[in-house]
Amino acid sequence: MSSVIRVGIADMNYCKGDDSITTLGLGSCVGVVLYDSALKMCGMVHVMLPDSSKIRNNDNLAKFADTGVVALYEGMVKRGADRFRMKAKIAGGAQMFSFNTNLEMMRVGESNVHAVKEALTKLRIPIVAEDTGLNYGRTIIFSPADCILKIRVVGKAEKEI
Amino acid sequence: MDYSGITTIHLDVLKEICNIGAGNAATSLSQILGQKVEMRVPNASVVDFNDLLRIFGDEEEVVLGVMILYSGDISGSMIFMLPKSSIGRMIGPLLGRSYTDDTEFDEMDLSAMKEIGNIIVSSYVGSMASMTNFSIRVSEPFAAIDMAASILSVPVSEIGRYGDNVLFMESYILCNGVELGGHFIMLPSIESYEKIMAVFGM
Repeated sequence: MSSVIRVGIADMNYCKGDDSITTLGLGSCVGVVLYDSALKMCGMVHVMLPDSSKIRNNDNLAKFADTGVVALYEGMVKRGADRFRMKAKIAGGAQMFSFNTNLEMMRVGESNVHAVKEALTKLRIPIVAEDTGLNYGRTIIFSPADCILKIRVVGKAEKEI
Repeated sequence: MDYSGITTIHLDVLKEICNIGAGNAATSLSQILGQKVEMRVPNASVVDFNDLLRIFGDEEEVVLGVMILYSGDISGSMIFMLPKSSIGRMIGPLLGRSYTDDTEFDEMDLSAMKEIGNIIVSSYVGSMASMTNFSIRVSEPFAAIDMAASILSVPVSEIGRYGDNVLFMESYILCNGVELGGHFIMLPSIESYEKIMAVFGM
């Protein structure tokens, strides 16, 4: 029996083999998957804010793009993943409410995507696929067996990247 | 810093403020919708993000969210959420339309819902302002129909700058005696929450 591991908001987890890992209803948050295809293992983090250094209460590493991506990467290495084989797929970072504003709060999706990409670049992890931005929520499911990221959206057909 | 120091007395105060707002909102909505509308806030609590995302039972439940930002002496956001299946019941009689589960909502529907959300949220803000003597300005309403968790991620990420939980005001909305399953969530910034409590001598 294969099982589906759930990742909450500001949370991360890992899975391997025939299991899969999911996070439900990403809005402005970004879901980052790191995987090692040879070992059929992966990790997923659901980050909600771009930058931990601007926040005093920043103990939860999985909440922020900068610390979340690094913590996920370190967890993968600790579980035996090869750092040169690791790849990333990312999704989310939508602007859920559409209007003209420069309010940081309403543009947090865009900032999250930018911060995730910056963190991955620093770690030299290639992003092989992404489905980010726009104005709708996404549920994502990743299976390390085939390294496919499935994306579910309200009123649209399921997509695979 | 977060809401960890909050007591049941604090929550009761917030609940009562919101109940006054709910009463005012129900009166205005009854007039506009031409239906008997009742609203009350039976419970106020501090909940973890992940529990909040499940207030409709399922993170993926499709809901309408109307969000309004407020600023001035206190600041933060408020969001009114209604299951997609209840939208038609609320605006159907007003617009003279009938809705099924497969109805695609158009600009007219969304605009009517924005206005309803605006009335509800403004009533809460109004009662807060009159009880505290704070000057509070509200933004125009913003609306979206999508998964509950996706909509909530916007206000939750803002409050996430301070901690891992939010102030959740559970609310009941009855239209002609039918419970609509709507929720109202108030997210004052931490500074604002302290200001509100200070006014009430806490």
